[in-house]
Amino acid sequence: MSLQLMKLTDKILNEYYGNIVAQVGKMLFERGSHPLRDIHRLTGLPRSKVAEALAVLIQHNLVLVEEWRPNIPSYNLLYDRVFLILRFPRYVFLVREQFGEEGEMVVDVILKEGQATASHIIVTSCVKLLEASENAAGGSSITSSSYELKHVTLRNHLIKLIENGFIQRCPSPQTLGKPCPSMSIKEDELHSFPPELLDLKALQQEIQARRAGNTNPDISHPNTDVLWRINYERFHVEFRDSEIRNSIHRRVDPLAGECLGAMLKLSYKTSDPWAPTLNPVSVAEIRDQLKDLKYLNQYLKILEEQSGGCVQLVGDAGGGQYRLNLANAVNTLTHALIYNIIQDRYGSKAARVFRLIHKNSMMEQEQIAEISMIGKKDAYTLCSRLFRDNFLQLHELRKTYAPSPANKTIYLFHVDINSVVRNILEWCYKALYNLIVQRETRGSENRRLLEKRTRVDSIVENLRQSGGTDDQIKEVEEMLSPRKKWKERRGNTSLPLVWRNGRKGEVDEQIKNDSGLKDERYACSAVSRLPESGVKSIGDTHGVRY
Amino acid sequence: MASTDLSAEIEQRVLELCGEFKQGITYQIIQNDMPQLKLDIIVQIINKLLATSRVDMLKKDNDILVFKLRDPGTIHRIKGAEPEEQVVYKIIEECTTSGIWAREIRAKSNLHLNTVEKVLRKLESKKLIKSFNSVMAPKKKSYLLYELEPDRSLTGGAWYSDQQFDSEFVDILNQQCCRFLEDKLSTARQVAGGPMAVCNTSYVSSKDVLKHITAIGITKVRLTIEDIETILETLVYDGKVERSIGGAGASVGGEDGGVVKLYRIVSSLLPTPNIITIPCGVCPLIKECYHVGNVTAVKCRYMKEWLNLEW
Repeated sequence: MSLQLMKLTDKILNEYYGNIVAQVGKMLFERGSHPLRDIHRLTGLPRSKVAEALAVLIQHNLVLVEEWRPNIPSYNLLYDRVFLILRFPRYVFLVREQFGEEGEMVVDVILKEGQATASHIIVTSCVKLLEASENAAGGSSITSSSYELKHVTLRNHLIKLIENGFIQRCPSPQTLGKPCPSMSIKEDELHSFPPELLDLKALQQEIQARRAGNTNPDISHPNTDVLWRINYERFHVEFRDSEIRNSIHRRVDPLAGECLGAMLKLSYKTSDPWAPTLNPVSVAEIRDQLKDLKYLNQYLKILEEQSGGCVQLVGDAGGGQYRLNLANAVNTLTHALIYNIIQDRYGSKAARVFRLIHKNSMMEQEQIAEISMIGKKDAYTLCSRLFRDNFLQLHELRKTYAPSPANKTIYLFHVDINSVVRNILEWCYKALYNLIVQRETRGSENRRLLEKRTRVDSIVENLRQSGGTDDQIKEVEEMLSPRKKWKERRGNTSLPLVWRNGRKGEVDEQIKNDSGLKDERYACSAVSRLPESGVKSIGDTHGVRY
Repeated sequence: MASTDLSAEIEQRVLELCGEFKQGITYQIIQNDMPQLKLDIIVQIINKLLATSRVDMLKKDNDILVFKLRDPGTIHRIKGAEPEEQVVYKIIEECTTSGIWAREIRAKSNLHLNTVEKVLRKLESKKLIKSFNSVMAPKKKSYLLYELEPDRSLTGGAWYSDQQFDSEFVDILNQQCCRFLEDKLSTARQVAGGPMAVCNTSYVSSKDVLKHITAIGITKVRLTIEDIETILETLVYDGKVERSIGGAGASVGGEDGGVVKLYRIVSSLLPTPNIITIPCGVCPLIKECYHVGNVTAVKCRYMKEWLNLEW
């Protein structure tokens, strides 16, 4: 929780759900959990609007309803979820990689809806997919078999996603009729899909009706009260693992990365993915997974040495037992990230100084210069710069409090990783906020230009379809030419908002990580979120090069 | 005749005693050794020895006189010099390679500072002593014997030239070591026999690095193993190199049989952080940046430059 995060949350809610939701969200962020009456009073918005806004937030899993006083519910904003909205494209991309186009469409629909019934998900994504393929095929009719079976493949994909834990069932109210229902769900229902929920015939009918242009056909489905939503944690496990695998890939070689991936997969069979240390796996099991790997034993040995404490040898049973310590892995990666940031921002010598101090915990000025082989003055400047930006802390050691020249005070530099992490996190929030603001400004500065471009594009498209000559097309396009160059430069307008928010998450978790093993899972999820790169290219129009 | 023989004999014996007791002898020791001698004879002998500069007379804290054998080399050099010069020379000599400051000489010799300075100038012109500035306190002039080299702690070792820390030199060595290790890794990658073999062959001992650095001849300064290890250590702190300790194995260590420090190049665990690739990541004003005021995202010049450059 921080001022920067609040500003960012406000911006995101504003952009995705509009002003009223943003106002409610901001108030909840500032003041914590409150009942409807207070939200109404504190925001000064009409009660009905507040209720609507809360409904939107609940629908999108951003607000938690709690019982505040008997029969009076209060609403609590899950602000870190708000921030996850920016990560949606990444979720979709991940599913596309693993489950193909159909899976992607399913997740896309759920992300847009927040919570939805299985029939709704299938029908909507089916209609969208059919439309897309029709467009691609240039209007020609699709073979009837694929047309008929589309909803079945989509259902299969949905079930696969649910069984893999990417999608989970929403808790449902156990007591109906109360103003403040308690929501709960059984563990085994969370990731299983009861087949009786879907009536395939009704699905097909609805799809046909929708495609015929009937937007609200009167077809009932048996699953109206079972809702599904995205399981963020599962995605984050996936991100975290790929981050760990990639780091090994970089450090050793691709095969080592594969080896680690196999170990992770095996460990998850027997342990909770968010545990700081996973249950051990034996070499024999790993060999079963990686039959083709020639030098498995050597790789395991290298992993043990080079993975920064992630892979640990714990026994000799079954040809050797290896345990994965994800807490260590996350720590190592966090440190590597911090070193990289310092290296890129302050230069490699500063990184050297920082690493030196971090490894030796307490260092005096003179020692730093001597060991890091940097001239005394330079070393002093670097320390001061890092100290100014809160990367270093200063510890003062004096014998007496009375100032006297005889007792020289000793100043020791040290590193408090938690505060460094918090610092970087804040800084990421700020950067992200700045990028959003910048995109908005650019967008509004050039709105007319962008609109014109859209118009010209559509005219050109029409001309092409109606068989206009090249000359005509050229003429129309030239309407834009005087400004074209200018515009193109502004293409950036649509902003290469390559959201580099990455770091944030990671750091975030790291803090919690250090503050207690219990929160290890957070630490982990942190890293998992870390390479948030290139996620968001807000390409509204053409010209967007991202 | 007999008395001269006797006195020569006693002289000989006294000198022998001095040789035996390096820290010097007292009257008492001479008396104990030759109990039949009278005090005035001893005094006579001692005076003779002092006059011929073969022993030195020193006073201990508890006012006991101590006699020490004089170094024959010194006798020769300082012969005929004035007593002040002798005293100062002796003080400087005692300090050997660590050198001594003029003010300390004054305190030890009880001479006036002006005299001391005069004497120092004289000795310097005779090329008996020389002065130098320590890297620790560049303004403090210290003196030591002409033929001696100042201690490493005062010159700063190989890394200082003209009392200045030679950071360029260090950087070049740093880069060269890094390049050498990189080459090793790329040759190691071609080794057959699995990843372990690649890993092991990419390790290089500090001795081999030193050999390489000496061979390519980028420096005239003679570097020691410790020097090169300090450099390699900086690479470890740069995160580019990994250190490991090897026993006196077959491939490394060789005849010295002790523990050998091995180094190998490693790549960073993570690529460039994304935050650095946007202006805010390297912005010097990020702390001052708010949604109001003079530094805001809307007015940001870095951002504008970045957007226009990227196209």
